[in-house]
Amino acid sequence: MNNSTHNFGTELDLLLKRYFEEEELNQVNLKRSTQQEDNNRISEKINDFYRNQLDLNTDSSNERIKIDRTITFSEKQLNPDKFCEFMLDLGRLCISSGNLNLANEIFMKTIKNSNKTLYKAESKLEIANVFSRRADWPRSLRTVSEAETMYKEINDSSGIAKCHNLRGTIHGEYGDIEIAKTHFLESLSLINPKNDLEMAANLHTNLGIIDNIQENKDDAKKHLKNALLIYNKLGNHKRMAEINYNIGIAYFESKDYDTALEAFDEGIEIAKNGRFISILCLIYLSKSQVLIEKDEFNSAAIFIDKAFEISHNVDDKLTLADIYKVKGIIERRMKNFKLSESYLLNSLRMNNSFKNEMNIAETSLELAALYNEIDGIEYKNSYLKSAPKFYKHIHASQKVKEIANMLSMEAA
Amino acid sequence: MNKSNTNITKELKNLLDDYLTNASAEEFIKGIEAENFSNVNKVNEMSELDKSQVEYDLPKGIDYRLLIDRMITQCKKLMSEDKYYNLLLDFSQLMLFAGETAYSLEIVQDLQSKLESKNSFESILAETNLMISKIYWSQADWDECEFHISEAIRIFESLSSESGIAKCENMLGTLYGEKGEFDKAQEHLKNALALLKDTDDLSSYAMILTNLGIINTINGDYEKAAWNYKNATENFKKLNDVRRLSRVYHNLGMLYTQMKNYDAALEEYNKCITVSMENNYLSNCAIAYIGKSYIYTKLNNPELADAYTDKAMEIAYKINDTLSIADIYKIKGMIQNNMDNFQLSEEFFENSIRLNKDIESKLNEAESSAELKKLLQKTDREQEANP
Repeated sequence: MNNSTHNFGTELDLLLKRYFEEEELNQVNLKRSTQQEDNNRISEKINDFYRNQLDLNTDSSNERIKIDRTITFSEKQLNPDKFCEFMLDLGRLCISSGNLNLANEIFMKTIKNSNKTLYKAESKLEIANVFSRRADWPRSLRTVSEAETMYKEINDSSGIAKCHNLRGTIHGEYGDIEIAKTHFLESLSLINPKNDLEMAANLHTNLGIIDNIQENKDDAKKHLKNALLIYNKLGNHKRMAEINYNIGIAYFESKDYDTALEAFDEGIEIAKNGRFISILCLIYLSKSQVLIEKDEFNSAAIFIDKAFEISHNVDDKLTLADIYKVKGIIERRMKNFKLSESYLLNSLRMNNSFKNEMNIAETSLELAALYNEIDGIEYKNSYLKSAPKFYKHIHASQKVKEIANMLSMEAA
Repeated sequence: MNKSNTNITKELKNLLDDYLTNASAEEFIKGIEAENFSNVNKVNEMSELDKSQVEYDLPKGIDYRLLIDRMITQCKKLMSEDKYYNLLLDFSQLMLFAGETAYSLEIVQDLQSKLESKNSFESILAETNLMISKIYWSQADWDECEFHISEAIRIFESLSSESGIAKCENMLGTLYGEKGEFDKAQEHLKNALALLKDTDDLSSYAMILTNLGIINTINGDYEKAAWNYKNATENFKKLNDVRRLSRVYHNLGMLYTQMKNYDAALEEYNKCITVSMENNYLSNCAIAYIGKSYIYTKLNNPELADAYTDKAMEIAYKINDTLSIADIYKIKGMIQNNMDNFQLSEEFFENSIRLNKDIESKLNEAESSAELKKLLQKTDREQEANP
C-alpha cells in the first residue's frame, strides 16, 4: 500500500468511527488493496498484444496547455463566426478524447461569444451531449429542448434531426427502447440521407443498436455494416472505432466470441491511434466480457481495470456501473463470491440511481446467477422475477425464455 | 515529447488547417512543438523539501472510488437513514478535498435526489445544497453555485436555522470574493458572523474569520487579516480540523507575500503543503504551489518557479480548477518574461486574461492585464499597452 493511500485510509477510518461502533467497523472496512496493487499482481500474466492495447497514458495537463494556447491564438486570427465554428470542432475533439470538462468550458464560451442562433444551438446540443455522457439525463433533456427551440427559430431541420437523435440515445440509455426508436425514425424522416451522409450513418448505427437489444440480430448487423461503409467512405475514424465496437457487441450477443473479438481489436487499434478515449473505454469493457467467456480471467481483469481507470477519469458514470457488473462476473467466475456480490450490488445501486432499466435488469440477472451458485435461492428468485418485465417490454423474447428456464429449473 | 502529446498536436494542426492558411497553422504548431518551456530538468539546485514537493506523486482517484463506492452500498444496510445521509455528505466533502470533484458531486447529487423524493430530512437537504454549491464554486460555475446557495437559504429559513443561514452567507461571501466583488463579499461575511453570535458553532466561526482574513489581505488591512487568521488557527486546532488549518497556512502565505516578507510566506506555504501532501488535499497543494512559484519568480529563480507551476498545472487540471489554471498562466507569463521569452510570455498572459474573463474573475483579470501591460512597456510597445 503506498503512502498516499495509507493516509487516506487513516482519514477514512476517523470518519467511519464517527458513524460506527468498533465491532460494526469490521463489517464496513473492506479489503483495501489498491487498483495498482491488483494490476501488478496479474499484469505479468497477460500477453504482449494485450499489453500493447492497454498501454495508454490518460494524464493530459500538457494537452490542456496546448489547447488553451490554440484557443487564444485562434481567437486573434479568425473572424468571430469562423472562431465559433472552430470552437465547436475543438469542443467535439475534446469530447471524443474524453475531456468533458474542457469541452463544456469551450461550448459555454461559444454560447457567450456568438451572436448567431445556429452556433448557440450547436453549442447547446453539445452541452446536452456532455450531460448525457455523465448520466445527468434531466439536464441533458432540458438542454436538448433549448437547442431544439433555437433550431426551430431558424428552420434548421437537420439541427432538429440531431436533437431527436440525441433524445433517442438518452431514452435508449434509460432503457425506453420504443421511445428511442421513435426518435431515431423521426430524425431519419427529417434528413435527406443522400446529402447528410454522416447523420444517416449515425442513425443506421443507433437503429442497429436498438435492433440488437430487441434481438433482431440480422437487421442489427445490416444497419451497422451500412453505417461502417459510409464512415469508411467519409474517412471518419472516430465513428469507425464506434461502429466496430457496436458490431463486436452484436456478435458477442450472438455468442460468436471470435468475431466479436476481431471487431473489438480493430476498434481498439483505431481508437488508440486517434486517442478516442471514451470509445476505447467501452471497447476495453466489452473485450473483458469476451475474455470472461473464453475463461481468460486474468486478462479480463486487466482490461476491466483499465476501463475503470478511464471511466473514472472521464466521469462516465454509466460505464462505471457496467464495469462493476463485469467485475462482479469475473469475481464470481473466480469463486470470490463475497467480492462478486459487493460489486454487483454496487452496480445495481448505481443503475437504480440512474434509473437505467436495461442495466438494472442485466445486473439483476447476474445477481441471480451468483445466488444460484451459492444456494441463495430466495435472493435468486427475487432478482430473477424482477428482470423479465423489462425484457418483455422491449420484446426480447430470447432473454425472457432464458429467465423462464432458470426459474423452472429451480422449480423442477 | 511523449506520444499522447504528439497526437493532440497533430489533431490541433488538422483542425487549424481547416480554418487558417496552411502556413499560418504550421507556424503556430511548430512553435508549440519547439517550445519545451518546462524547466523542471533545468533547475540547478533544489532543496530536499522542494524536490519532494515537485515530485509529489498524485493519488489515483480510482483507489478512492473502489473503496467508497462499496462502502456506500454496504453502509445503507448498517445504519439509520439520517446517519447514512450524513455519512454521504462526509464522503462527498472528503472527496472534494482529495480533488475528486466529479466523484464528490456524484455522491452529493445522488443524495439530493434521494432526499427530494422523501420530503423529510430538510436540514440534511439544505446541507446537501450547500455542499453542491461548494463544488460548483470550486469549478468557477458561479450560476449553479448561487442557485444552490439560494436553495439552501430557502430551506434553512423554513427551519429557522440561524447557523445554517450563517453558513450560506459565508458561502455567498466566498462566491463574491472569488468574483472580485469584495464589498459585497465582506457584507455577507459580516452577516454570517452576526448570525453566529449566539451559537457555539466554532467551525463555521473559524471559516468566516478565514474568509474575512482573505478580504482584509486584498484590501491591505494586514493587521486585521493577521488577527483573523490567528483566531481561525486557534479554533481549527481546537477542533483538530487539519484540512482547514492547512488552508489557513496557505492564506497566511498569501498575506506575507503581499507584505513582501517572502521567507515567512515560504514557511507558511511549506506548512500547508506538508500537511496537504500527507493527506492528499490536492486543491490546497495546487494553490500553495502557485504561491511558491510566484515567490520564486520574485526571487529570480525562474527554473524552480516553473517547476512549481508545472506541478500546480498537473493538479489544477486534474481537479478542474479553472481559476488556478488562469493564475498559473499568469505566473508562467511572468517567468517567461523574466527569461526574455517575450512572445511566449505574452501568450501566457493572454491565456490568463481570456480564462479570467470567461469565469468573470475581475481581480485576477486585472492582475494579468497589469502584467501584460508591463511586458508591452518593456518591449517598447507602449501604444498597445495603452489602447
